[in-house]
Amino acid sequence: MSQEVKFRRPSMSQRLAPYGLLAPAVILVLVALGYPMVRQFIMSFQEFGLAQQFGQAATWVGLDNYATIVADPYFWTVLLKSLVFCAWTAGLTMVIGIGFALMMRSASTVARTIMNVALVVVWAMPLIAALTVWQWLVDPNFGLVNFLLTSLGLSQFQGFSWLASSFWTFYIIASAIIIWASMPLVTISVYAALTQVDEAQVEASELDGANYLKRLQHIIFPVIAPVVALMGVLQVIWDLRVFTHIHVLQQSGGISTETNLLGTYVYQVGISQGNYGVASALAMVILVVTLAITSKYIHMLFTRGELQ
Amino acid sequence: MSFTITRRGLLSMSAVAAGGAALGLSACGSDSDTDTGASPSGDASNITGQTVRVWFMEGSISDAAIAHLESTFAKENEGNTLTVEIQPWDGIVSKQQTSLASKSESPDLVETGNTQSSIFTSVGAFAPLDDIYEDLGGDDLIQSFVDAGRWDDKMYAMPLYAGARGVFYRKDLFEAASIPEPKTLDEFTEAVINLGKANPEGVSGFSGMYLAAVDEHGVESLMFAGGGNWAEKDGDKWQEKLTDPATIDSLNRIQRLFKEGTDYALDSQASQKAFEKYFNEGKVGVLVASGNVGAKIDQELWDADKVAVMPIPGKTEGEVGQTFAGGSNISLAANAQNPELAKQALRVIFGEEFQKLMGEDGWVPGNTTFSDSITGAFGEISATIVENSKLSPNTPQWGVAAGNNLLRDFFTTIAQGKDVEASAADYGTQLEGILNQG
Amino acid sequence: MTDRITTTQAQVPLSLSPDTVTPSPTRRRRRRRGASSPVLNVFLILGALLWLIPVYWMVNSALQPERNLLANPPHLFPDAPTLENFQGVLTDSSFWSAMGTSLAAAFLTVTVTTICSLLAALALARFGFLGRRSLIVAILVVQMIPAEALFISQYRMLDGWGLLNSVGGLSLLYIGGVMPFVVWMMRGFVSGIPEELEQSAMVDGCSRTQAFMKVTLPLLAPGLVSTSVFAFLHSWNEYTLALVMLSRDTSVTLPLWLQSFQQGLRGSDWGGVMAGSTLIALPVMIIFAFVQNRMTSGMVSGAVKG
Repeated sequence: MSQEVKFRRPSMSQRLAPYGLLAPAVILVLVALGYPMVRQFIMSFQEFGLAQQFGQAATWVGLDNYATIVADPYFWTVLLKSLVFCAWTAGLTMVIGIGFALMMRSASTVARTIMNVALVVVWAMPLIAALTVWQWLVDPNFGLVNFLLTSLGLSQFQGFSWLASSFWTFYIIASAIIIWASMPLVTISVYAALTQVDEAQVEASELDGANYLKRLQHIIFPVIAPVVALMGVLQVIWDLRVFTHIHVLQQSGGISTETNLLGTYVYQVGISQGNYGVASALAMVILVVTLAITSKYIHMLFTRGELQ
Repeated sequence: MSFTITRRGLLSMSAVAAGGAALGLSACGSDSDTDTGASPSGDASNITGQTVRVWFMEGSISDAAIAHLESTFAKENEGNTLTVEIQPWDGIVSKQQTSLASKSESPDLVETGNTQSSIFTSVGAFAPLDDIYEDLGGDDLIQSFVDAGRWDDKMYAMPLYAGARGVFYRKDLFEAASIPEPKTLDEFTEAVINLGKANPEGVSGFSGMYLAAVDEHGVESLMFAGGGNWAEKDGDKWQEKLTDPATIDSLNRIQRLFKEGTDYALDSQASQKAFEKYFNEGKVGVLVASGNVGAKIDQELWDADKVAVMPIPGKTEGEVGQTFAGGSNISLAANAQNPELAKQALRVIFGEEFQKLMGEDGWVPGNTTFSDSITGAFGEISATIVENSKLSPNTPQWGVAAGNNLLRDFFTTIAQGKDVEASAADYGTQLEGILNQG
Repeated sequence: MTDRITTTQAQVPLSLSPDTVTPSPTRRRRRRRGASSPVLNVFLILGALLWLIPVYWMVNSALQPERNLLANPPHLFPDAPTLENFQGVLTDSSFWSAMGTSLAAAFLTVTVTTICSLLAALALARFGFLGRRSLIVAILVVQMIPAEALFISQYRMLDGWGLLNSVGGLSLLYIGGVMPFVVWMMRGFVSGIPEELEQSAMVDGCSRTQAFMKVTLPLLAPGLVSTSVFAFLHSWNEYTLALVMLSRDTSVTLPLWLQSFQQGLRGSDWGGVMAGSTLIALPVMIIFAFVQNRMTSGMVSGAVKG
């Protein structure tokens, strides 16, 4: 419990106040998500397909849906791909984002302003518009990317289809789009945190002969660590369940069974195959996996007292 | 059962298309009790103030036909209106799954692609139409579609139109490159490749034909034309046919076309949607497309007599290649708000005027009596093409396979240049697994 | 619940909340250190330009006639600029009706979310109460649930209430989806404003509510702007839910409009699609230009903490 509470004499109305303040937000979330989540949880133990959607009674199947998922080697392939994709994309986003932020800190006003404009403009690009532009950029025959690469003498990129040739190139593009779109947010956040670094301390250590890496490690990083950690966890959460990017790019071409990640896999099982029971179970599994990966951070949030 | 268009349907269709009378062979075998006595508007006459909602897919029914439907319905059903809602293809399955199950939001009439229909007929999403089946055309309707629209002996999905594929080609380019009109599929392949090499107009980035793996029904048609097939039912089990020597042979030819005949093997879906543009821009000389594409080809090209059409050739000379019988069905939603009025709307849709308007768009109308209305490019050859078309396996599980992108994925592997036999074996196994489920 | 695309946007306002961005007094007193290395500046500018390429390409393609777009090599500059693509979009009545729907949904989402999240954030930042920790964990966990399996049930729910195909119903789902995160952000802003300020106002005779209205709320203004921007982006960008909940073609949002514009009959009318994309991005960029200033004042207001 927070510090301030102790010296307050909580009256009845004061004790009820927080609940009153919370009520509108909590009720709205429960209204929008409560019933669907409970229903999803229930459906994950039922055989629930299209016939049930059109009115037949659902049968209880216990843990069958979960067993089906775990026994399917394809699930493990998709899970592994998702984990690697997430680690790669979130990791690179963080590295590039922090890198640009550090550079902005030491750059001239002009360079910093130009970067700022770029960050805001990219950040403001609506997702569907961004995905559309990227599809056009990597168009096999008329895209800019292939033109630039062939101009550099790499003639194998003439008419090369990034999205349909192999799942590797598909993931490279998907990942590039996500990094491109997420970097501005990481950079701006980290840069904001960097302004808290005590310059006097930095200069003092400079005089002591500490090199850049040492200063980074001992003075700069401790200051930005909380922001970096939060950013990182959010990237992981979002990259692990990424759906729209992959879904839209899959529409464009390529072999969807090879390019599926967890988000599109749930959609495929639920919508394309009309198997809501298994899809619901899959969603629960994804939740558990995400929790397992981020539990350490959540635990840390509390123990470090940031959320007292 | 077989998946080729039934003999009866074929005969009546071709006969009608040729201008003769339908050879009424047998009754259709449905257990429909034909409603002869009641006046067509019997049940609906005292309903007013209602709106019938019809879902058509994007790009399927022309504005003229829609206008006709809306105005005729309003005239015949005073006090009621009909609105057509055009649905985009993207995400349509999730929309249908949710909306059709809704008591309040369900549209009254829905168009479904004929490979998708059985997903919904089998789960009770549609209401039976046996009582008006005879009124809507009965035996004159495309019978293979009618068979596919039945489930448990009830009629759920009426044939809206069929649209089989043929070949559009630039005959001036063929002449300029001294390539004769191909008579067999092998000659067709050579012609396309040679045309690409010749590039008679010196267009940069020219290739013989437009062929993309994402255009699954186009590639599928070439596969059928070369003697290939997806699967056949053997007793009560589905047996995949991808690894059949005939299919492999056909796929090898397609792979060669992907590799040497086109620059667009791995083109994106968005570009493929408007593939006639490449034809109009002179970047390709050959298209495999359905008849309605004819109207999208530049009028200048037609006027200059540079474009010709032909059926996809078969393996031997004089044989017409089999193609995929694409098309759509229309159904009455089980949750329709106004089923009686919706049936009135169906009568308009299956009336002469609407059927003819579809024919003018290049589709084969659901009622074969009006096949002679098919005008434009495919007017003369469409009867031949439809005669030689066949459906994909008729089971709800086929919809699942298609929803999983299995067809498109498979053709993509062929376009990527993967080993045909290995890929056929891989996807054949997957297909068999899905078809035999449930 | 929130979609990745939209939630990514959360990060900036979040971290710009006063507790992270307070410029240190030392820093504020000092001028910048001497000239920075030219190599670094060039590198940063190149990075910025690299990031701008897709945006440039969108505008460049939107300004070119169809024929030039299908040219090889591509036209790197709009050498024969035309506004016909923009005209095509702007005279398309479906674009304007989608704009109306999107704006309405955004307005509802922003208003309701901002008010409710401010109240909830006060509870979290200023009060200790039973269940506080669980609530904070719940806020994080809700983010992790894949939305792709939920919307079938959400559809059924809205159906039962007769809210399908309505801006209200769609906004309700957006509000529920975005609320947890906005509360989280707002909590950061509120706790960045020292309670001592309120307490001293209370010593001066204000009631707790008055103290909040007079002291804290004005300081929160930049925070409110940031959270509003996030809520706005969430509803402006959302695609999947809108696709399913708005099944009548008369009521679509801009992302749906753009997607059907691209996927539909227009096919690879890339010029038109790029013009459409530009026009959808434009309002957001304008809002951002406006918000940038508030962000700066956010930094200043955070200074009271130090």
